[in-house]
Amino acid sequence: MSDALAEVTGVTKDYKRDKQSIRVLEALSLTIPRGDFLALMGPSGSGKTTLLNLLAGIDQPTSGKITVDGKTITGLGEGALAKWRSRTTGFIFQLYNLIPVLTAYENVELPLLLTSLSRAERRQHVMQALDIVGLSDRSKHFPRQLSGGQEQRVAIARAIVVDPVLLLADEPTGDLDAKSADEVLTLLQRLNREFRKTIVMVTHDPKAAARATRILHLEKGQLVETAA
Amino acid sequence: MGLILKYNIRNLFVRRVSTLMTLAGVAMVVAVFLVLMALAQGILSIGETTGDPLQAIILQKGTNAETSSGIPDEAADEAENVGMVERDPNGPIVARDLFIVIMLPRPDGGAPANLVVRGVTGRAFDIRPEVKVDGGKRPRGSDIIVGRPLSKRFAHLNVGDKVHFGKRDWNVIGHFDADGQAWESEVWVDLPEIQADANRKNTVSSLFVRLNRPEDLEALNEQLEKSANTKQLKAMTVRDYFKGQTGTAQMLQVVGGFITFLLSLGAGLGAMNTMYAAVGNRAREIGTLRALGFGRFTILVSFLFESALIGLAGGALGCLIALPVNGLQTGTMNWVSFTETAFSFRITPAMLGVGLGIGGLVGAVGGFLPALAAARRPILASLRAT
Amino acid sequence: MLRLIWKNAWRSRRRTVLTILSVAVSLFLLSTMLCYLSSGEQQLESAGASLRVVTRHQTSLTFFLPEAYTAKIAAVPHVTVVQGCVWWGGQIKGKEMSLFMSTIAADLEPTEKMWDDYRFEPGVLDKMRGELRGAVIARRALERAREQEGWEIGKTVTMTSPIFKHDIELLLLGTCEGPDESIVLFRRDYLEKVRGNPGQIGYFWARVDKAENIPGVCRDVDAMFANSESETKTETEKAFMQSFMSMMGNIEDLVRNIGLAVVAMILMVAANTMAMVARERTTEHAVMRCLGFTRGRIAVLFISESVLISLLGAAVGVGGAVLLYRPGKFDAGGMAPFFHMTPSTTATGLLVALGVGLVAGAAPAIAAARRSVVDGLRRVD
Repeated sequence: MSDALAEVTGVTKDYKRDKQSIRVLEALSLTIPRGDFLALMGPSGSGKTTLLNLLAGIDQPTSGKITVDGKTITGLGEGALAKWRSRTTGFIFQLYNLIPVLTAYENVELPLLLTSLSRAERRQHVMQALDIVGLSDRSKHFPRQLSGGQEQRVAIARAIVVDPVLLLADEPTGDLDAKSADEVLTLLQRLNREFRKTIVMVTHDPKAAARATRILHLEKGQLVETAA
Repeated sequence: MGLILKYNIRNLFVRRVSTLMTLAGVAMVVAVFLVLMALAQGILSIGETTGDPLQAIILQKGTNAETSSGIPDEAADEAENVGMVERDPNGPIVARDLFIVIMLPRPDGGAPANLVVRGVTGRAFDIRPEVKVDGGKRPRGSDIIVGRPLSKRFAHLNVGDKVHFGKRDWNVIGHFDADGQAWESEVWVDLPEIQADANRKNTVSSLFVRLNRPEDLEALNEQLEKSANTKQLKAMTVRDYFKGQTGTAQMLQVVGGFITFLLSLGAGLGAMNTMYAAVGNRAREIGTLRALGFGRFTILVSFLFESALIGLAGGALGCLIALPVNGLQTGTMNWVSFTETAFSFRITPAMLGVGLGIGGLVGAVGGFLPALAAARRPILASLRAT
Repeated sequence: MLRLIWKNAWRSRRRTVLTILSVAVSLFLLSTMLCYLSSGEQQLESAGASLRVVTRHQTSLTFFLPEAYTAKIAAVPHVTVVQGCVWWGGQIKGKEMSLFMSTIAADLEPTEKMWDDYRFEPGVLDKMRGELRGAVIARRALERAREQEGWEIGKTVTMTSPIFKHDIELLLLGTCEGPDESIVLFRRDYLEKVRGNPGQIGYFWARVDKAENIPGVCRDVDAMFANSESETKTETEKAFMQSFMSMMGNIEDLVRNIGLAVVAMILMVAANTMAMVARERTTEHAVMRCLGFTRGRIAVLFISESVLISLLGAAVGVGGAVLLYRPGKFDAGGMAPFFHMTPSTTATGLLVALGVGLVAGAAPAIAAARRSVVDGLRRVD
């Protein structure tokens, strides 16, 4: 099992809304091998984003177990989980979620503040990440001075700057035009192939999903078998 | 953590209007605080600076003010020679003063107020070297000198003026300064002249001496006890004497504290509003930071810092607003002698520090609940916020 | 319309509550300061109606006048009664700063006629006739001294003075009620006995038959003693009081300036809130314009909301002051008899709130009215 990066075992997730409990994921099990580029598809409410959040450690399952890179994250405390997130995962949001008052450079630098790297080392990492996404020349720009595609690429640079083993993307192209979407997907593919990043991407766009190496469908909180 | 601080500071600039209004509110609190405390400090500093630690005042027993003290010449003569006080070739340096309260109108014709007339001999100047009269003039006959601040607070006290009190007119021949000491609130007149005018012949109110050593005060009092003539006298340090007359300052400090507390509450609630809005508007940013791995504590500290920074800036502005009152002349009633004491507003560096501290505290306290709310909000809830 | 304003105001409940509280606290403070200012004014006003005049030594109150002046002043036309007094300035031995009472040694006989605005406990003045050390104390002053010192009618108390070196022992015989609720009145002949220095009067009260004769009496009394050993200064009760207030320094100006700073602070808090509200409702206002609301109508709605919030703040803050500062409650034991909310101070507080509400709502309302509908719809933040 050495090449399984993430292991989801019997995970159930309930949400409480107005005293009513809604089951979003039902006894779901899944293995994500190292180097996988997995696209999660499914109708809204199917639980795909919930699964992504659980893998990212920003949400906790009601029951079941999740192990990433040999570490079980279910049941971890608030602080330990935050620390784990900062080392292990990179998150890419649909709406980029760059901090508007920080420059591209500073946005990318943010996660490095949680490491013990020196200023010079941080600079090296940030410039490298920006270089990979092709935005070295935009480092001093503020988010509002960038196009949507550029913003998302800065967000990707922010996600990879700590060199995490797992990249999680929630509808990364959902808010982009076709051309920008293509650039972002190409970039993700490159990260997967060249840098051997394991990527889990939630999308409802079949064209985006087609760029992944594997597609899984979720429906009513359970995996539905389909041909890759 | 420089970047996080930068994040907070830049956000303050983004919502300029809100920041400025909150800041201005805090500035008002700090300015009001400083003005009131400057007033109290001005009064206190009279007590703290008048005389020097070695100066002592001898009064009649049973009184604690020159107003009600009377020392007959025989007692004064004897007291002068009990020793333990500084001397010069002419003998012991003992100033015999007669303390009279008169009433004069204001320059603008307002209701008159009491002020002190001090009958003095040449010794008064020997023992109080801080008293510097324009042109080195001395009161003699009908010629009198006036503490400089008084000339603006009362009518007829400018140089060259004739002023009527007691039974006759007096000529103001000069103004004097005394480094902000109590004497500046007095009119100085030649002792024999005022004794005659006020029907107080052969009597003075007080003796001022300078001890050789601080410990001599007790010995001096023991000496005074020994003779029947001086038994009725007691000595205390001039510092203690004037400190006992700064009750108004304590009252001002209490009132100032009350006002500052209520105003801080008002401004703090305003800051709370501002910070709740800031936290609400930036929910998604907070969620993102948390998703990136920043802990709750970092978020709490970051927003507390942001709020405290508004407060500090407000405090700084308040200091700037209040600073011009420093040195401004005013007057208040001395509740012991029922006369007006002239003094100036005094702002000390320590007070500015406290002012800044109040500003920062108002910001931090006002920002605490919003910062806590920001830190406690679940990541997903924050991320989903629009 | 009103319902819409009310509902709008409570859309962000926390913000509205915080704003109301902030405005309330500051308005309470402002009311307190207004009380202080108006109590001074009322004191002067009540003195202004008095038919009494004061004759003191021309140099200052600390110089005595001869007792013989009593008859001479009484002989001046239009003077109905004269009373010689010495201001003792009573403090309690050992607690000089804590309990201050205006203690006055006065001729006993003219007391009732002179102080017709005071209600003396029946028979108390007769009792004083038979008791050299007898004293009458203001009801409020007694209440305060009872709390702090256990004073009771029938007790003998020791008082000290900032002016005289002897202590006095007074037998409390009864109470009185009147404008100055910190008063303690005792017999001047007792003070003379204590001091062993008879015939000295601090100041004279003289009663004039009619208000229009007051200036004449003042002039005549002073003219009578001009160029004598002890010249006098005679003035109305109001002027006499003013000179005491004048000595307090520029406290009233200071209080007024602080009041302005308080108003500025309330304005900042309220304006900040309304600016936040305006920002949030940009889109909504544009939508309402699409629905046919005029700019003016939206501005009126918005400003009304602002006024409503500050008036609610006033209801709490000024209302609290009205409840707290009731007549006789916070009079510093009688020293500040008029320290309470009057209709005019209450109105001032409410007017300030109204003004703050208008100004705080106006700026964002104008900005919102200027914005074009399209612009408003486009703005998302």
